[in-house]
Amino acid sequence: MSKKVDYGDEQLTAYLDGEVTREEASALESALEQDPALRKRLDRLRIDTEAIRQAGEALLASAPAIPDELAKPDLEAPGQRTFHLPAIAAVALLCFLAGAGLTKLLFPTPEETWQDFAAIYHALYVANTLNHIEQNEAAAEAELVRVSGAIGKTINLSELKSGPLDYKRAQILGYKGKPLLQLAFLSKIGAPVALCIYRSGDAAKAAVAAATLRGLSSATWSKDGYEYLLIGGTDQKLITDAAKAFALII
Amino acid sequence: MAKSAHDTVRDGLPGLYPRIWRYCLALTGSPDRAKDLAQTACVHALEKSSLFEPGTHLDRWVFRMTQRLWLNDLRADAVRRGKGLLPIEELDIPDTGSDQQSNLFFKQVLSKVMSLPDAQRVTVMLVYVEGYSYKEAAETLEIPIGTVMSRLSAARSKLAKTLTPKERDAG
Repeated sequence: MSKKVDYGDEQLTAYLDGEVTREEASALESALEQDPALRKRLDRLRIDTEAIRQAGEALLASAPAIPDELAKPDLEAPGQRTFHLPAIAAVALLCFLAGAGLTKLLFPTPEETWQDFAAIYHALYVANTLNHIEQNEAAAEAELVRVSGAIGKTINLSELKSGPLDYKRAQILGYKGKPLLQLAFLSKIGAPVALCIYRSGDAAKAAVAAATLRGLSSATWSKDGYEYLLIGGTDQKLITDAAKAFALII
Repeated sequence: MAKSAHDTVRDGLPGLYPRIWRYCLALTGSPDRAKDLAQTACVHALEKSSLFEPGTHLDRWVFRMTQRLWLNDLRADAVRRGKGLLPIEELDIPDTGSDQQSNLFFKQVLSKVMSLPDAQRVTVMLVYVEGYSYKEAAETLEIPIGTVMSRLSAARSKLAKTLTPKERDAG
């Protein structure tokens, strides 16, 4: 006579999931034959796991695309990484802040704007974040087409190179689920400067206005449904003048 | 030549990303938060890529990292903000892109899975959707196998009331 085993729901679940040995399964099956109450308990744990699997598969189709920056990250192997950490931290921070998440906790001001987030992000930039970037004309042009297309705008490389700032690269960031374009430059003295463009859809036009955000010289303006922020360094005249020039051509 | 750990992680992430997001959906219970967590997890994975051992499973490594990130750093703040528990009717389950009838059915199934308590939901995701064994799920979630079993049996009890098996299905 086989000895009596008290089966818990965990064991019954493991049996249904095929996670018991053959011996354990046979013992349980014998017990089930003799014990209607046990059969009833087992039945109360039966679910359509195949439906769950299929529903989970179907869910993959609605997964968002991986952000470009993560799909082709411009990161070196960690052993060689010296100056990229601030950028990584900043991307993590921005991903973290941009969502429905924790902004209020960290920044309890009621009027958070995308410009605030961009300023926080930009404050982590140092010259070394950008000064290794050397793109040829064609690569820079292609990157610009791809990135500016994300906000439905056409920006020419020549326009970015026309001023006193040394153009470095373009990337797509995100704010509240909408793309935020970041064009990065270095000033003559090596200060990182960013031109950020966000499609607000708001037709209101605003002239270039100087501001200080997170201790950085900044200028904001808006036109044709886009909002602009030029930010970086502490030379307010440089930023305001460059902003005025960009406002005319971009 | 064998790929470096960093290259393996970098090259593997795009293909894995939809599953990372899906796992984040199970962890966070919200599509928006899942998106944020998935991106943050990828940044972490790239940053920690030297710790990955090529030849082992990238998905489990990333899932484990994602779970730690959520539990240690992000969840507490989300809960503090009063959105830790999202009533199921407020959860917008994304369109699954299948035909309408299957779509509706899948949404119903997902809605029931998503309404499980966090710990059960994520265990169901790993075992019934990802197809992990109990041992693999236990290692990923960093919990004993017994806990995997009790979470699944509790989840089954809840789901069985609404999600009964089809005739063909033995489990």
